[in-house]
Amino acid sequence: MVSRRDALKIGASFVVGLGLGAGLASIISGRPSAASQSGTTISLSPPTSSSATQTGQGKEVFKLGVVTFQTGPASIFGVPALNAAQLLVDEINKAGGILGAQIQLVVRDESGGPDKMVAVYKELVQQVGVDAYIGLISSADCLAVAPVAEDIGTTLTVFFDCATKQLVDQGMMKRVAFRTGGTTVTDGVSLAKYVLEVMPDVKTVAGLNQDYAYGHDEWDDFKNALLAMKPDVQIVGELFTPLFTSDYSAQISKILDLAPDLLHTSFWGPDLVNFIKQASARGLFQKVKVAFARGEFGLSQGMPDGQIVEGPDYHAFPDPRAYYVNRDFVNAYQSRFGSAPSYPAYHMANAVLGVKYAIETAAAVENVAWPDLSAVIHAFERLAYPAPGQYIIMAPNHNAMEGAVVGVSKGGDLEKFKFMYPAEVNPPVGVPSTQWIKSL
Amino acid sequence: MAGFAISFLISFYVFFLNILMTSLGMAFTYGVTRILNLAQGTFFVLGGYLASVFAWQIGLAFGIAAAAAASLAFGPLFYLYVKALGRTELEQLFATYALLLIGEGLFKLVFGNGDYTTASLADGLGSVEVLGQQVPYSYLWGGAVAAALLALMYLLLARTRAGLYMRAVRDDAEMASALGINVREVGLSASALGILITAASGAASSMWQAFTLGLSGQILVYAFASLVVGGIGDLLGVVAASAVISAVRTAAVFLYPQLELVAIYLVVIAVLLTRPSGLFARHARLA
Repeated sequence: MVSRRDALKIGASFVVGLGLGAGLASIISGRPSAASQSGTTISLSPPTSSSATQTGQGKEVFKLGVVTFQTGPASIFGVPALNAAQLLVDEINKAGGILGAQIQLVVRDESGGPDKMVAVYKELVQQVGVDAYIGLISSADCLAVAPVAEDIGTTLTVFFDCATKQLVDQGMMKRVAFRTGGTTVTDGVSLAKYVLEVMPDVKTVAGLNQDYAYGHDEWDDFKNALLAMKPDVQIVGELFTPLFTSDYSAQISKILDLAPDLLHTSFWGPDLVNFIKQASARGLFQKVKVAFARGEFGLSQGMPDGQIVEGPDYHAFPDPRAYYVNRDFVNAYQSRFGSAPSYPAYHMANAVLGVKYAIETAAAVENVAWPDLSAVIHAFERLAYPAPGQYIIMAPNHNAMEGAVVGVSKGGDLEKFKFMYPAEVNPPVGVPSTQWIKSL
Repeated sequence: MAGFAISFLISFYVFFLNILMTSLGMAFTYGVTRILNLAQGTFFVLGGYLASVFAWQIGLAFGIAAAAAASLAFGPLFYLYVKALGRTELEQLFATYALLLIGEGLFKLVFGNGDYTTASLADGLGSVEVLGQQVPYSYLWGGAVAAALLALMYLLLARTRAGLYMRAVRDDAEMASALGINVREVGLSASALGILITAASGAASSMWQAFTLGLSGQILVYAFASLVVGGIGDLLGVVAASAVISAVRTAAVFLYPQLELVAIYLVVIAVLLTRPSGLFARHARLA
C-alpha cells in the first residue's frame, strides 16, 4: 500500500524532477545557439577586408508571425491586411526572400481581447519561435502587448495598425517594439486641416463616435485640432454610441435637430454602413456635411457625394500611373483578391516591407550574412523606405511619421484628394501630442 | 415643439421596430418549445444575408420572402440538434451557443467578410415627409411585416388545432403525449415556425441594417432585454416591452446620451427586482 503521504512525495518529486529536466534541457538546447551567436560577433571583430569573406551563418527560413482579426466585425480590416501580407510575402520569396531566407507566415486571429493577445504573443515568440512579429489592429491589444514585448525583448515586434497615441506619448516602444503607421492624432489633424480648407467658414460642429477609447481619441484629436486652428468654432453636440449598434434613429433625429455645419464620425465596420444607410434614408446628408475618419469602407456602401473622407491611405494615391510601387501593389492585389486594396492592406505593407528593409539595411551596415537584433533595431530607428501608399519615415521614438490622404466622395471614389505631409500632421519626436495640437 | 415631438416619435418607432424584430422569433420559440435559443442571432443574421443576396436578383419583396422560405429547412434540423444534445436548459444553452459559433464560421466561409444589406434597394421605396422630417417607407413596410408575423402567430396559437397542440405541449408535454399528441412532430413544426419568423425578421431588417461577421452575438443584448422585461415567451409582453425599452432609450439619447445603454439595463434590473416573471405576465410562472 502506498500511503497518501508517499503518493504526495512521489508526486512532488516527479514535478521537481520534471522542472529540473526542463531547465537542463533548455540550458543544453540554448547552448548551440548562444555559441553560434557569439561566433558571429567574434567573426565581426576582426575587420574583414572584403565583403566576399563574410562569415557567420545565413538563415534559410524566416518565420514571420502575423496577427490580425480574421473573425468578428473587425475582420473587415483584418482580412485585407492578411491578404496584403500573403501577397507581399509571396513576392518577396519569389525574389529570393530576406537575405536568402524564405519567409514563412505564422498566422493567428486577433479575436479574443488583450489578455488573449498577450498569450498569443508569448506563444508565437517563445514556442513557435518567430523571427519577427507583425500585428494588431485594436488599440487595447497593442497597449497590452507592447510592455510584454519589451519585457521579453527577444523579437522584433511591429504594430501595423492600432492607432492609439498612448504608444508614443507614454514612450511604450522602447527597444524591440515599432509601429509603421500613424495615430489618431494623424487622423484628427489631417481631417481638421482639410475641413478648414474646403469649409473655411465652418461655425458649428457635432461629433458622433463609438463609445470606447478609439472613438473618444478620434473625436478629441479632431476637435482639439479644429479648435486650435479656428477657435470660434462651436461644438454643439458630442454623441457616443455603443459599438455595433444596429439603429441610429435617435442620434440621427438629434443631429437633424442640432443642424450643425459639420458632423465628425470615426465609425467603422457595420456601424459605418448602418449609419450611412439610415442617415441617407432620413435625408441627413442634404442638411449636414459629414467628415469620416474611417470612411473608405463606406464609399462602396452608398456614401453620398460631397462628404469628406480620410484614408489614411487610398489606392489612387500616389498616382499609380506614375508611382510604380503603388501600381504593382494595386494590380497584384486586384488580380488576386478581386478588389482594390483598402487602407489596412497598405498598413500591412508598411510593416512587412519595414521588417525586410530593416534587416537588409542592418546586414549591409554591419557587413554580416544575418544581423543580430540590436543591429536591426538600430537600423529600423532611422529607416526610410518606399511603401505602396507613401514613403515611410521611421523616427527614433519607434513610430512612423506617416502622412494621410483626405478627399471628397464622388460616385464611390475619392476625388480632390490631398496628401497631408507627415511633419504637418504628427507631433515632433518628444513632444506630447496634446501639447503639440494646442500649438497648431 | 411639434418638430421635437415628431423626431422623438420617429426615433421611438424605428428603434421599437428594431428590438421587436430581434426578439419576436425568440419569444415564439421559447414560448412554444421551451428552448432558450442563444443561436437566435444566427438565424436572424442568416435571414439578413439571404435576403441581401436574393433581393439583388429577384427584387426586394420577393428576396425577403425567399430568404424566409429558405430558412424553413433549418427549423427541423435545429430542433433535432438541440434535442439530441441537450435535455436540460443548461445543456441547451451550451448546445445553442456552440451553434452560434459554428454559424459564425459558416457565414465567414459562405459570405466572406463584407457588409450585406438591401438598404440601397429599400432607398428606392422612397420616403414620406411628416412635418419636415423624412420617414423612409422601408420602416413602414418593416412595421407591416412585424404586424403580419404577430397576427400569424396569434391566429395560429389561439385559433387553430395545431396551436392548441403547441400550447398543450408547452404546458405539459407528458400529459399531451398521453392524450395522443405527437410531441416530437409538434416540436419540429414549432421550431420550424420560430426559425421562419426569426429569419423573416432578419430579412426585413436588412432594409435598414447591414449584416456582417460577429453580429449574431451582438443582437442578443437587446433581444434579451426585451424578453426579460416582457416575460419570456409572452408575445404581447414582448411587444409592450420593446415599446418601453425604445421609449427609455430614445429619451436617454435626447436628454442625456451618455446613459443610453445604462438606461436600458436599469429598466431590466428594475423589472427583475420587482416583477421577475416579466412586466406583463398575467400570472407567476410555475417551475
